[in-house]
Amino acid sequence: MNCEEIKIGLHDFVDELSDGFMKREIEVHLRTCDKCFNEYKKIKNFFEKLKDLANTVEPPEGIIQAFSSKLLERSIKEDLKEKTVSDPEKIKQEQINLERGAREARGAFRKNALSTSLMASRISKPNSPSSRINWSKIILILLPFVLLATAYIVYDLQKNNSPWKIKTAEGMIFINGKANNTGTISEGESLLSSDSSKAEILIPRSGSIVVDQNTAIILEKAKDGDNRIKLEKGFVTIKNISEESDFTIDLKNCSVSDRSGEITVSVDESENAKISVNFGFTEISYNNESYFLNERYVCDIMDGKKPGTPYSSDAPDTLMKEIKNFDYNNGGENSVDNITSMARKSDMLTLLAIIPRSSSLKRVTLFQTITNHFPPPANVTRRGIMKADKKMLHLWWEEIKEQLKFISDHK
Amino acid sequence: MTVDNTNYVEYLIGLSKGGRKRSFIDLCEINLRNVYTIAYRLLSDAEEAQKVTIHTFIKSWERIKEYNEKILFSIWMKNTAIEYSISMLSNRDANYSKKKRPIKISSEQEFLESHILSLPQEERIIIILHDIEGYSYKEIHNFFEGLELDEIRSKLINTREYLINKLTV
Repeated sequence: MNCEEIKIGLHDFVDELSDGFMKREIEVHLRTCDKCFNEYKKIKNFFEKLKDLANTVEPPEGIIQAFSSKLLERSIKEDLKEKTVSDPEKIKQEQINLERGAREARGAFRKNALSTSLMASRISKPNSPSSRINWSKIILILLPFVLLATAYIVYDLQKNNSPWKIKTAEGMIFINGKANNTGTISEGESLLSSDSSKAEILIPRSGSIVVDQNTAIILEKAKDGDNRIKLEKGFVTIKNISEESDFTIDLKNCSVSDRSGEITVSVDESENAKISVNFGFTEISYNNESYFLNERYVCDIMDGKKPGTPYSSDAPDTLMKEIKNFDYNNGGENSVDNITSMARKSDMLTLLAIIPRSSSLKRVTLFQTITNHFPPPANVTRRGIMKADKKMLHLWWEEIKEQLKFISDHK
Repeated sequence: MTVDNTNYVEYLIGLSKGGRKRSFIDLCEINLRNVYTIAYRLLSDAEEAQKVTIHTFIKSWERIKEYNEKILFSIWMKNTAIEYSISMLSNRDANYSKKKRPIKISSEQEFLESHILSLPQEERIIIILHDIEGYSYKEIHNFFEGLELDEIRSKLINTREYLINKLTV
């Protein structure tokens, strides 16, 4: 496809009207062609500017008076019977709601097509195609694979479960920037709630998402075994009842996977995220590293940085504060000492998570403190822990997790 | 499927359907900016926008019993405003001149706004309805039967290119 065709196609692309083939062509082309990528950036910039456009134009005074006198003069008698009283406070509030709706609608519009993922993926350029080959031979060889692949694709397609139903929605919610009126959200669409609306989305065969006020999510993938949303801001609770399939929430620079459990995730204005696990198993992926989060534990992630040290959801404020110092304010050895002295039995997973992040000197005390509550299981040695051996840390983590569960189950 | 007007709006609609004019005026006040803005942008004329706004309120009152919850009340009213704005535009006589244009450019937003307002009629309607208000080609076609979907699309693309150009210069 040449640049001229791409240039025309870009508009459908940002409007999300391109078919799958065109969409892929454009994505591939944009990665390699600076000229068209610039065009794309210009369109993107145009929509940014459009977003900043005043929501409303100030109407001249007196329209309402002009209208009401027109209306009232139609029959004054009837009017005398009216007893309802206007509530200026409520009217004001409704005006604000409407206006905010308009702004958010414009903001969420095309968010998906203009995502930054394209920008990021542009760095890796595909190689140029190789020379001529004997096609008929290759086709024969490939035929069985193609058949298998087709069968797999058919099998895979039936796993798609878009759209998802929205069960309850208080107030106004916006699907893809439009006030909702279908009651469903499809793959690729965004959902936005205002400060007076809430929604519950049913995930087919898996569970549900409760969307709180002022929340923006994008349904990135609706497929059994790989359901995935992006949380832009706000507060969601995920209940995943499916045993085998993960539910993934993408956040800035990291993603959170939940398997048969219940977690709440929030993102505030400064893009700080908080993940709390009510029950079940949760894994946070950041930079190809996995961080495990036990039930009744919480993890803070500041502005897309490395996930913070997990802490127990009932941890005292002083402990939480010290963990923040350690994670983000260079608290260093001092913080490790304070955390160690404050930690209760249920905080041992916090200490375990600190081990790879602390100096070898502190690892000695940490090892000792954890051992006092939960002796290391077989195959976990002091030496390995001193070296912050990943496998051993994980084994120990599993052991403590089981014991903590046992304790809480028998309370 | 019903959509969610807020409870207060729902309450006002109920009273309005029962003939309470005061409640209906409250509804108009809530939607005033919404209606006036779309009319102003489509017509690019403050005086006509005022006329269309009042006309929209009157017609909405006459048709309030036809309103049902399949569509948000604010959108229902806005659709009426769009219909009247478009019919007003097509009835403008040939010697309609842009007498007064109360547009002052003091920021980049107003720069863009002023360029949108000075676009030719059809182009202006299309970009406002599609890119600002989020209507689909099909919905725009319904307002504007003279235009086919393909024409709407190509006009939209040309207009965007024109405005993008203005922004980059």
